[in-house]
Amino acid sequence: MSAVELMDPKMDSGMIFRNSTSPILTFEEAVEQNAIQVDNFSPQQLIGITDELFACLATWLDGQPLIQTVYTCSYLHKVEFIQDNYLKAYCVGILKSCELIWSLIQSGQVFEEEDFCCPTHGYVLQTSITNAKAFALLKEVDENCARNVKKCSRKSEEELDEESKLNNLLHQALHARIKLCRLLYSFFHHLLGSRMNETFLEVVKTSNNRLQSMDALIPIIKDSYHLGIHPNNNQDENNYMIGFNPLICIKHLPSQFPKMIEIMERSKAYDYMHTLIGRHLRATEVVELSTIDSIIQFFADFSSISPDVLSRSALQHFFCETFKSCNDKKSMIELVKKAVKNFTQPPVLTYPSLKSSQRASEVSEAFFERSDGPISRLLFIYCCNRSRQREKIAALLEELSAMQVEASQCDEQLNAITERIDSQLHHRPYLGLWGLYHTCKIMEYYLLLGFELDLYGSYEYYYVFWYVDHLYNHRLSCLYTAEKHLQAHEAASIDIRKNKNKKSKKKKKVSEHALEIQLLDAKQSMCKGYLRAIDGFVKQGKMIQQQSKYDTSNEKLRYEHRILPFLNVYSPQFITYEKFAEVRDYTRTALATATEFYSTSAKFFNRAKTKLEEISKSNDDVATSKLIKITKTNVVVMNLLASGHKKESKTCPNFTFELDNYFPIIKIQ
Amino acid sequence: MALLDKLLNRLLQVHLSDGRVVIGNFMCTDRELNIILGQCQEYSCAPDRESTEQPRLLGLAMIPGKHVVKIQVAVDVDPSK
Repeated sequence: MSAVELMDPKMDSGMIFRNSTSPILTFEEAVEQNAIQVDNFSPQQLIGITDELFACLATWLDGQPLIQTVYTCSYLHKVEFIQDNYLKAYCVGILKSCELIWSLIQSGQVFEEEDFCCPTHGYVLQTSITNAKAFALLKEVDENCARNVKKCSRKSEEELDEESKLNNLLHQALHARIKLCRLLYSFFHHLLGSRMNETFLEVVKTSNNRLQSMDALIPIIKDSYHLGIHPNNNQDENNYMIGFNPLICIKHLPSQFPKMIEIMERSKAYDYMHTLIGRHLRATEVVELSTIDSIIQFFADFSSISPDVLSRSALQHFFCETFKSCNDKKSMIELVKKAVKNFTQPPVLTYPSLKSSQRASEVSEAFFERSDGPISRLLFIYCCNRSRQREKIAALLEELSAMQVEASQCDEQLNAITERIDSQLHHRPYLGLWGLYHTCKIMEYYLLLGFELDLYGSYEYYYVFWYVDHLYNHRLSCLYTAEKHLQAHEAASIDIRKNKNKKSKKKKKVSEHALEIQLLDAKQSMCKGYLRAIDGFVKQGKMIQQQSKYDTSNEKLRYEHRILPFLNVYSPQFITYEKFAEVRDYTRTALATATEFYSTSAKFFNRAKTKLEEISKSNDDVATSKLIKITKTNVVVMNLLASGHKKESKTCPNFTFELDNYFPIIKIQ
Repeated sequence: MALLDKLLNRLLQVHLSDGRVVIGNFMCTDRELNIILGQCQEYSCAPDRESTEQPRLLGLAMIPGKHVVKIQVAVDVDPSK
C-alpha cells in the first residue's frame, strides 16, 4: 500500500503545472484561441517541426514512454485541425506509423519493460482520417514537393542568387522528409496488412526496396537538418519547439514522480534510424533460409549484435509469417525432419521398407510434432533481450528434456519395429542424438552468455570452463556417432547403386560435420588451456578461493547456483559438485608444479591455434581469425609464466574479453 | 473526535496551499493533520458546475498537514427540496 505524497517535488508531478506561468492549453483550445500556428508555415518551420517529430519517434523506439515523446507534439492531437497540407500529411503518416509499430511490437511479444514502454496508460491518439485518405494525402504532398523541386532546379541553368539557391535546398530537404514519412508508413502498412494476392516473399521483396530507399534518403536529410528552425536557447518559459510541449499530456501519466525525458538530438535520431533500417534489412534475409540449423545460426548471430526491440519484433514477424503461415505446423515439422535426416540419416526416414510401415511413421511423426515447440521457443528466446535470455533458456531446457525423453522412447519403439522388419537394420538412438546435440549447444550458450553479461567472478571461471569442456565432450561424441551413421548410410546407398549400375563413381564426400568437429576440438583445447592456467594460478597463490565467513560450503553453493538449470536435464546428466571436485583435485595432484601447469596450458593453446589455422585455410572468417589471435597471445603468456616470469607476484593475471565475448585473453599485470 | 469519526469515508474536497483542489474519500489522518484520501482526483483550481477541466487521477494520495488550507465535505443535495 503506497500513497502518492502531494506537494513533494519528487513525487508530485502536478506541481510542475504550478511552476509554469502560462496555462497549458490542449491543442483544440490553442487553435480556438489562435495561440498556435496551423497554416502558412515557412519551409524552415516545416523542416524544423518534422525533424523534431522524427527525433521524438526515435526516442520512443529507444524505450521512452510514448506520452512523453511522440505525443508531446500538439499537432498530433487533432490532425484534422491542421490547415497546411504538408504538415498535415506528415503528422498523419507519423501517427499511423506509430499505431502500426505498436501492433508489430505487440505481436512479437519479445519486449520487456526495460526495452519498451507499454504505452499510453489508456490514452491513444486516434484520427478519423482513414488509411486510404492518409495515403492519398501523402501521395499528393509528395508530388507537390517533387514539382517544387523540379521548378527550382530548372532555374539553375541561369544565374542564381543566394535566396533561390536556399529555396532550392529547402524544397529538396522538405521533399526528402515527406518521402521518408511516406515510405515508413507504407512499409509498416504493407508488412502488417492483409495480403490479397501476393505471397509473403513478394511482400518482403517490396519491403526490402522500401527499406533501401529510406536508407538512401537519410544522408540527404542529415545534411539539411540545420536548415530547420530550432527552439530558442533562452532560459525563460517558452523555449520549446513550436508545436511541442512536454507537459501537454502530463495528466495522462500515472502519478509517479515526474521524470524528464530528453528527446534525442536530431542528427543522432537519424543515425539511430539508419542503424534500425540496416537491422531490418538484415532481418529480411531470414526468409531465404531453408534449413533449421542455418535459421538457428542466423538468429544467434542476429541476437549477438544486441538489436533494438523493433528489429527483434520484425525478425519474429518475418520468421512466423514465412515458416508458420498457412500450413501452420507443417513447415516447421518438415524443416526438423530435414535437419534430422541431414544429421544422422535415420533409417525411418530413408529406408522405403520402414517408411511404408504404418506404425514406424506414426511413432516418428509424433516425435517430430513434439519437437516443433522447443525449437520455436529457442528461436523466440534468441529474439529476446540479451539479458533476459538466460532465465528463459532455463525454462527451455526443461522442455528439451521432455523432448529427449520422448525421443528415447520413440527410438526404442522404432528399434523394436526395425528388428521385426529387417534384422539387418538397427535403429540406434538417431532421434535422441539430434536432441542431445542441440541440448548441449544451448547449455554451452547459457554458460558462455554469462561471460558477456559479466555475471561471473574470476574465481568462478574454473567451473564454467570445466563444464563447457564437459559439454564439448558430449557434443563431439554426438557428432562422431552422427558421422558414423552418415558414412554407413552412404556406404549402404553406394551398395544399392552398385547393384543397379556397375559404373558407380567412387566419390570421397567431405563429411557434413567435419568442419564443426574441427572447430569444437579447437575450442575444447582452448577451454582446457584456461583450466590448466587457472590451476597454475591457484598453485602459485595468485588466485585465492573465495572464503566467506558466513558459509563454509561456499564453493558447492556457488557451483550449483551457476549450473542450476542443468539439474533436471535428461541428458547430458548433471555433474554433481562432489564429482567435479574429485576430478579437479585429481588433476591438481597429477601435475606437481605450477610450471608444469603453465606449459600444459601453453601446449593446449598451441594445439588450438594449429587447428584453427587449418580451419581458416578452407573457411576464413572474422571469428576464426579472432580466436587465432587469442590463442597466439595466450601461448606467449603461458610460456612466459612457465619460464618463471613474475613467479613471486601474488596479483592474479587479468582475463580480458576484448576480442571475443566468450574466450578471454590472459594478460599479466 | 466524534466529528472526525463521522467524516471517515466521506467524500472530502481539500484545498492545497498552491491552489490545487483534491477530492477523495477520507481514509485516515494523524496528529499533524496529514490526510490520506482514496480514489483521489486532482483539479488545478476549485471545480464548479461550469468548469470542464478533466481531473488527474491519483489513486491513494497523502496530503501533508502543513499544505492543507481548507477542507469541505460533500453533501448529498436532495433534488426534491
